[in-house]
Amino acid sequence: MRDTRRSRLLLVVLVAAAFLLITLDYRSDGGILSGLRSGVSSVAGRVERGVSTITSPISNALSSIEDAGRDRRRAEQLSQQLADANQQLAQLRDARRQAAALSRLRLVADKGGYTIVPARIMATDDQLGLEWTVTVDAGSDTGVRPGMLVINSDGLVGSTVRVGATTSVVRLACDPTSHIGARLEGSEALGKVDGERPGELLFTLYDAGQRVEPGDRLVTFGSADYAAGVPIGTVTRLRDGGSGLARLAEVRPFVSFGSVDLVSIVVAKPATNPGDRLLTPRPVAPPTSPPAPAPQPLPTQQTLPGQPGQPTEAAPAAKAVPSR
Amino acid sequence: MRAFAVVISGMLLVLALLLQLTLVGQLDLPLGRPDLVVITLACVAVLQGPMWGASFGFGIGLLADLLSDHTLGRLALVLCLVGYAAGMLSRDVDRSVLVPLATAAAACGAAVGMFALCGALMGDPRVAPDDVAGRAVSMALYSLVLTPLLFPVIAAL
Repeated sequence: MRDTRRSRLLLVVLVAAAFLLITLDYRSDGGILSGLRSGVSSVAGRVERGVSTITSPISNALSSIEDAGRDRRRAEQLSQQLADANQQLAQLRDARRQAAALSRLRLVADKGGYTIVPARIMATDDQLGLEWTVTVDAGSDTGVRPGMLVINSDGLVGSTVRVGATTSVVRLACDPTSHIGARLEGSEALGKVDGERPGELLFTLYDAGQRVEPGDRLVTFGSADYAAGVPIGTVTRLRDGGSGLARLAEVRPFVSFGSVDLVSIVVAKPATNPGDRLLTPRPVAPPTSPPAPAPQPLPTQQTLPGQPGQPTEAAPAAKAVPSR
Repeated sequence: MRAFAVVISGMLLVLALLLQLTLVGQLDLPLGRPDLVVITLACVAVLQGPMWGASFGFGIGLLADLLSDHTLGRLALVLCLVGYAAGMLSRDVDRSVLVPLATAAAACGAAVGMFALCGALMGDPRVAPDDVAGRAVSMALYSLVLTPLLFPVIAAL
């Protein structure tokens, strides 16, 4: 075994063989050697695949141990980033929705010439389902007083009843204790709109000589504190008991009271009555629309107190006047 | 030397080569990677003497050459010399347990160095001197860890 002469001879032979191989392989591309190499590779490839199916779980486990810490940190970082991005996205969406609602409100206010204070509904005080009031985040600091109309871009929402420094309580138009003076579109037929239940108001016509028909639209009538011309709703059905002389009519409001978010409080009225301008133009009904926006000798705020039937509407207004 | 030991040693070397290619080669360890083939060869050579060390080195080197894409015969030359050198120490193997350890570590360092030198002589662009030194050192260090585990097994066979 320790026959050094033999082993030295073997070493020389082997080294010479290695040099021969190196030279052959280095000098020639292809040939027998590359064929041998690809043959061995294909055989070994199969063996390697077999071995690696056994060893890959081991190598995966080993590398996952060393990667685990890094991966966990990365995962935490990424989930934090994702949460931040989602929050930002939600804020952005909310801001965009608010901006759109505000610009619609602005448009309505400009159309009617109203001076508005935008406000957000903070709380709905729906106690026992009997009271329909909400609290908004604007108060006397921004010029809000009791008895002012609250609108959104669709139309009338309600009126303020109690005002704090930075918050106000708004009675929705659908509250049964809400009474708001109203006028039929395109005429001088006056009346009042009382709340009945969400999604339905009740219009009472003062003058029995006037007529109200399903499809008629209502705007606010205006008073010392209430702005005139705010769209209220559409008459859907008459309650006349078959007599044909209806003074009571059911009204579907333009505003969906369940989904009011951004509102504005009309803190100052325009010098002139906006008339029916705020109602969206009817698609078909050419004969009725022309007389509507024309110069109307409508009752302005000066003539209001003398109007017949005013006492019924005076309930909320009377509250407002002394507070001034 | 018995034929049984030759067969077992050859099988061990082939197994080491396969494990090296499939398992160890894919690990992303700090500093570098251990080389199971060189460690196994050093152990076998230290037990069996220079003749078998040179033969096994040549054989397993040639097989590794065939499975790689570098010039054929490079590893065969290097491992042949390494096996022979390790085998020269076989008469000292009984003197101390440190002999196989030192042999394996030296074999690893020498194998990397000679392989790189061989590549540099043939103009292999993959050889970078600082990289080679780091790999030789890390491979020698890993061999110090693995040899105490492998040597008793190989010696028992």
